[in-house]
Amino acid sequence: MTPLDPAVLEFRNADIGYDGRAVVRGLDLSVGAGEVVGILGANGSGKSTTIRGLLGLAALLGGEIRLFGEDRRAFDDWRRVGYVPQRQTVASGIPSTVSEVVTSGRLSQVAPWRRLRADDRAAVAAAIEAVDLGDHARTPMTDLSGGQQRRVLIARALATDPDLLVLDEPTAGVDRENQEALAVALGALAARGTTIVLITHELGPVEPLITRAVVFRGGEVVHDGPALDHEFHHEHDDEWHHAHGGPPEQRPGLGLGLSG
Amino acid sequence: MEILHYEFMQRALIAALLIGLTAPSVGVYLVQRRLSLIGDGLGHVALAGVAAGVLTSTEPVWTALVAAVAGAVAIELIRARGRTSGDVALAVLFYGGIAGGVVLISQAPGGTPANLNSYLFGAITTTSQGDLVVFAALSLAVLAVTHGLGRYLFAVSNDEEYATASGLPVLTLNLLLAIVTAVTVVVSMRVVGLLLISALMILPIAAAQLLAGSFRGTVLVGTAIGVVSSVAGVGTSYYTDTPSGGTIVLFAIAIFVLVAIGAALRERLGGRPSLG
Repeated sequence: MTPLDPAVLEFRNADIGYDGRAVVRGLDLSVGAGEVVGILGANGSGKSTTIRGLLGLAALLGGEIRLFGEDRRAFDDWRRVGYVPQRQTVASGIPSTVSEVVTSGRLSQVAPWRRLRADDRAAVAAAIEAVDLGDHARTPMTDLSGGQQRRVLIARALATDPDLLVLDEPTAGVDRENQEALAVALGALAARGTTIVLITHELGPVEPLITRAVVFRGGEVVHDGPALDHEFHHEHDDEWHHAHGGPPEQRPGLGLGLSG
Repeated sequence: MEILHYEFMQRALIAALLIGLTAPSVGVYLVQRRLSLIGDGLGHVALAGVAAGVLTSTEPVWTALVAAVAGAVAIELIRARGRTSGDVALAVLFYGGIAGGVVLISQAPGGTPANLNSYLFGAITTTSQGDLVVFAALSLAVLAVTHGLGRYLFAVSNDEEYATASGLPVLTLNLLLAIVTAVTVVVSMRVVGLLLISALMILPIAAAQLLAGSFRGTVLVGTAIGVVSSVAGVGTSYYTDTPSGGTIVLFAIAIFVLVAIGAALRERLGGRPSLG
């Protein structure tokens, strides 16, 4: 990245929220190409709202959001952005295969009333391979474990070979084995220069990948730094218990005060 | 086949084939997004259109089409706004439709609400040549959307938020689905009936999802069940002198129950719950 390259994503004094009510206020945040950013914070701290604002799922009430240097409201090159929503499973009574779900991530590249082209099929197959589910392309989603279903949703986000991958809680409720598979997949993407923004409660196997941590509290950024220190881990544990209804452990030295 | 000698039966069977093909291809998306009963509501709205047609001596197929499409667009716009009052707005629309229909038709010359029966529950003697031409054209349009844009409708029905974030024209696709649902309701108005069409959208898909392992498989199996139910229902209703819509739906229910029992047995015997 040369200094002239625009940031991959940038919030400038952004107010983001729903129904005219701002959840996040005056946000300034810029992420450059190739960064792997962990976004942390308690429930209601504004981290999900921030990401949803970026993707057009929450309203921008003031300020500015830019994607690849372009105003988000004018941005239409969604191929460059892959999104993995927080929902853990694809809930529906209708059966669907891994391949069908991943193909739905490719549609911004497919013209209406047209068949899939060979490169579309190849991209879908590569995305499924990238999360190591190549043997399951024709498997019904309901036959997969929760962790495998999460990996399918990541493959769906990869189907357009995006430059920016945004993941909302990709490891929540996922067993260790699937978390490790996820970390391998994300590591390979990061090595190729894909910018990754990852909302997370439990860092687990993805921790070594993260180059920068941004911590939200009460709709504002309270920490933005290159590394996760020991203190932060304690904080993070508290926050995890908080979010999952467990007893919030009181630990000394809560410098970041996440559980507030 | 004696029944094929009668032109009215030929027309009824063709109409049955058309609705058997279209209803499940729309219904699969309605089931997927848990809007199974929207077809029922649109049938209510279409009834007001039928009554307006009878009252003004206009072809009821056209007035029903206008009413159902207008109702479908209104529903989708209410849904897109996501207000909690949307539920009440739907109730007003649906019951306004059926109440308006009954009151309007009672004002038609010699009209009593009893005249609505064939529209509500289907009849094999009512499909005209003109209806068939209209139904065929409408069915083609429905199938062009449900099959030609199937992947998009799948994406939006499967995960609307994701579809929005990936840049798909979600509102347009939702409106298209609402409109083809309304059109399917109108195609059903002769042989299935406006109060029963929803069953033919939903039941074949409910059975098919127990048999298939993929979305595409569900659509194909569901369409086959839809065609078998509707054609067998119309044929049977000739011999038993029963309303065709009710007969069709009883066939669809019978198939669903058999499939559900078969699936339960297979699961108890330790087999995989889907064929693939």
